[in-house]
Amino acid sequence: MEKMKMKFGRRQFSIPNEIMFEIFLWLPVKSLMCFKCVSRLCNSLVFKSDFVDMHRYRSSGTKFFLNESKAFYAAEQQEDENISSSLFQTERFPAYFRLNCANGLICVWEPYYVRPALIFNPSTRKVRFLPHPNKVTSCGDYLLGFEPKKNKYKVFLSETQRGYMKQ
Amino acid sequence: MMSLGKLITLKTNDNEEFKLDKTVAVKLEIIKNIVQDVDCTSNVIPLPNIDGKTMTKVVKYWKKHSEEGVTEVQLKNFDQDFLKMSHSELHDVHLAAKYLDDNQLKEVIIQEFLDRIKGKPIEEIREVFGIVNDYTPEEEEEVRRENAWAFE
Repeated sequence: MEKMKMKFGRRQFSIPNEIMFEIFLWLPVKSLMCFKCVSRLCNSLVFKSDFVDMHRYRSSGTKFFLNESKAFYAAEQQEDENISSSLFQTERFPAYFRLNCANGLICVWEPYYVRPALIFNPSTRKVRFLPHPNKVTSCGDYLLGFEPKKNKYKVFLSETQRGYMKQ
Repeated sequence: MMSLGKLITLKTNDNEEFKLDKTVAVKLEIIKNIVQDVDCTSNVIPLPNIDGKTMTKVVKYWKKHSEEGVTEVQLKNFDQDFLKMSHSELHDVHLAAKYLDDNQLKEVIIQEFLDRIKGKPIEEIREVFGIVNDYTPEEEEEVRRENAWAFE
C-alpha cells in the first residue's frame, strides 16, 4: 500500500524486483547476460537459483549440440509465434572429442587426461574445469547426470578398472 | 448469457467511481469472484490498490475488448495505441492488472515491457525499469567484457 500512496507525490520511478523477476523470466538467456551489466541487482537476480530454475522450466526452446573436430556448435529451436532455429558456434575446445550431456549442461573430455575435462553451459557459455584425476596411467570416460530432487549435477568417472563418483 | 443493464460500480482509492456493465466487469477475475458471492449491483466494490487514472486505462481496455463485433485488426490497432504510455504508467497498469487478477492485460503489459527492452542498449534498459547504475565504471567494463558475446 505504501507504494500506491507514494504515487501521488513526486517519486523516483522504479520497478520492484519481483516485477523485474517476472519480466526477466520471458527473456532468452542471451538478453539476460546483457542485463547483468544493468546493475548489481540485475546481475545477482539472474544468478539466483530459484530464478534459474523457473527460467529453465518455462523456456520452450529445444537445444541441439554438435561437436565438430575444432569447434562446438549449439542449435536452438524457439517455439514462440513462428518456429525459428539458429545455429551458433559457442566455444572452441580443441581435441576434446568425447561428449556427454544432461539437463542443458555438457561435459567434454578426452580420454587420456591430457587436458582436464570440463563442463560447459551452452546458454551462458560458462566453462568449469573438473579436477584432474590422480591416476593418470589409465584412460577413462566421464558421465554427466542430473538429480532433479536436489537440483544437483553429478559426474561419474569410469576408468578402465576403478570408478569413483564426484559431484 | 446476457445480463444487459446490470451495472457494477467500482470505486478507486482516490474515490473515483466507475460504472461498468456486468458483462465487462466480470472480465476481471477478482470482480467475477466477488460478484459470484454477493449481489453487487446495488453496492460499490472498493479497489483500494488502484487509482482513478490507472483504472480509467483498465476500463478503456476492457470496454474495447468486450465490444461486440470488434475485429482482430481493430483490437490490434487499439492495443498499439493503448500501450503508448510512459514506463511508470505502464508499470501502474501492470500492478492494477495483477491486483485484479487479470491475466490477459498482465501478459499484454509484460510483452510491451519486453518490446521496450529487447535489443536495447543498457542505458535505455535502466531507464525503462528506473534502475540506478550502481557499478563503478571499471566494474561495469569488466562485466561487459565477461559477457561480450551476448552483445554481438
